Amino acid sequence: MPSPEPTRVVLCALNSPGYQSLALGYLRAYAQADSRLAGRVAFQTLDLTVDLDPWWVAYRVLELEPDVLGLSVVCWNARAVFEVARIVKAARPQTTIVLGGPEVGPVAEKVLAAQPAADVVVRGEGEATFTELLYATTRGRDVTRVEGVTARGRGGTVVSAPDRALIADLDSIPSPYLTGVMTPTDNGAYIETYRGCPHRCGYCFEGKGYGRIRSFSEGRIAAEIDAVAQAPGMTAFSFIDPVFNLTGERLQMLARLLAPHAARGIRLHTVEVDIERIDDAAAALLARAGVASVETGPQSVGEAALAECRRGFDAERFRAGVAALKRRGIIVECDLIVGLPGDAVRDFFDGLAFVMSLDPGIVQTSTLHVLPGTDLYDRADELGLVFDPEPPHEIISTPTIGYADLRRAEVRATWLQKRYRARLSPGEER
Amino acid sequence: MLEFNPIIVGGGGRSRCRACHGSAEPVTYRAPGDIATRIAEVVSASTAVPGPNILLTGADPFGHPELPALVEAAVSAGVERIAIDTDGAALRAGDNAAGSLHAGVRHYIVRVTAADEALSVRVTGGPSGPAALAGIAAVRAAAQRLQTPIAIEARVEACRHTIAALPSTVAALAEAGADAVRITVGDVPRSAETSALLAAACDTGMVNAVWVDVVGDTALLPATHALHMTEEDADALP
Ligand code: SF4
Repeated sequence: MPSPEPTRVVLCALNSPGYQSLALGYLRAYAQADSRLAGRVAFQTLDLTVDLDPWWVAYRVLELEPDVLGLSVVCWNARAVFEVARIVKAARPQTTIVLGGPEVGPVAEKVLAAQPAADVVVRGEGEATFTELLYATTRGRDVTRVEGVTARGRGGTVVSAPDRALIADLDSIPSPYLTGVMTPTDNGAYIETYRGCPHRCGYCFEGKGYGRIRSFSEGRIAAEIDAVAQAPGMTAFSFIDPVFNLTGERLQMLARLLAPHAARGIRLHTVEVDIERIDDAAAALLARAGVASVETGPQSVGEAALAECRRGFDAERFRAGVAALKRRGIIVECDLIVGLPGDAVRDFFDGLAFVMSLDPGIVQTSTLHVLPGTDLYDRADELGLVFDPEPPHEIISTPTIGYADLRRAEVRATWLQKRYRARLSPGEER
Repeated sequence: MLEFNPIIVGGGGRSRCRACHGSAEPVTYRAPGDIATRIAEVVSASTAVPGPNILLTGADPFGHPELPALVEAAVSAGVERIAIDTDGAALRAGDNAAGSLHAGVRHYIVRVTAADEALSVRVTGGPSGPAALAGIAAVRAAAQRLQTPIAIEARVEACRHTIAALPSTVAALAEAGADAVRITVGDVPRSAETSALLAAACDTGMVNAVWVDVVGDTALLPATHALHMTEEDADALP
């Protein structure tokens, strides 16, 4: 008997230019490793960029005639992704459209109510759920019973199956780099060494959504580092770990694994660090690892905002951390958010003055996005936060800053950043 | 947040509203050696972080016959940010825009009285406004071509002869490529109309993503626009 045609699965992400979606890489690597799907599912990945016209993205998708289309959704690409879903569904109604990612998972039922083109939302960590969803689909089973799935049941009613437990052993997720699912690109590849975050910042999904810390094994991390760092043409890559210097031991381990590559000139860019825990020894380890630049807070220096967002800030330790890194020639990007609950405009500009007084190298300001699944999203009414319900959920007003002043703060901050950035760097070619 | 040490390269020659300030003084320039010495002194005494930063000011530095040597002296002395306080017209000429960028200038403060040509001729005696706009556009284009981060700030003095055109001046500066506009409130009528014009100038900047701050008699700005008020004019131009 001839074997049935495999289910055609297209995974599509609209990334920032220059990047590939690690999330889709994991999904595909995990599903491909499942023997139950062998020969039954054929994958294609479309790593595209968010600046593309959604009609052209849909064209690329439709050319592949997918039975299942998996779309990765984050706040900054959601509008474009939803448009792609609408066009694809209209052109090819038989395609099952599956959405996943932090923008949709925490509000899955709302998303399916608002996006009739979408059939399924994968909630939370996607690898196991997506694989089980594909298994159910290939067997003609009811997908609304798959743990971690929210989908349209009979009669179109939206049904949510129970949550799926987080994957206990991260090494059970095959590496997209080691399996060849992803080819590391120079300056665009990044590695994840653990999931979760010890902190619970109110505006962030990472700590709240992924709970306790789970790590890949040292062997797996070492193998991925070697694969990425030794890829042809590689000069720089990065890590997406929420805190690169999570513990002293971990930093030592990473420095040891990365040092041989750093010695060959491979650099790491914008790794996130807890700057208040960086002393000269930690800065030396980061330099040994090849870290060229780090990204850090403080996000705010206002006491009320820090308390509302459950963030600590010690100006002296922060200052010492930046100084230690600068002594090692490591550029520090200091980030600030305007519109946090409790902050007045003055607090925001005090923060800007503080970080500029450190001359960190890069100063970056952004406007608060009240993201689904975060503490601020859940407490928005209580805190008086008015935000755009449509992605990217930008703050509209707070009890301490009105709409017009938020926009003024954005424009003034942009100007002050331009003034800071307009400079001669040591050794700059002219 | 950023401190610029003024370095006086000369005096006179600035085109301002003649009705308010009379005719421009004749231009004089200081000797390059004196200026270079002053730059070195300022840099060695500077404790500014970020910095050191200097502003070449007084007479228009583009008129100084030794400007390249002065900028070179600043670069060699370790200045991080070199600003030039100019009338802008010289930025149109020859290779001045790209040349100054290559030399190391990163900040341009462009003095503008009014953008509109007829008004400019009427109040300053020449088409200084359109010339300044063309200069801003030239340096913006050069910076884009060279992918060099720069900051362009226009300085506009609002007086009773120019205030009515203030919103359109801000719009023209935004279109030319200014990042920010600082309005100094001079001799203006203390009226509701003046307040409305100042507010409109700020709002015109906002809708063009150009920051506008107001110094001088900031009480004339409506309270709704308090964020645009700058109480201390720390980097007032001589
Ligand atoms: S903002 Fe960073 S430190 Fe805070 S919870 Fe998120 S990942 Fe963790």
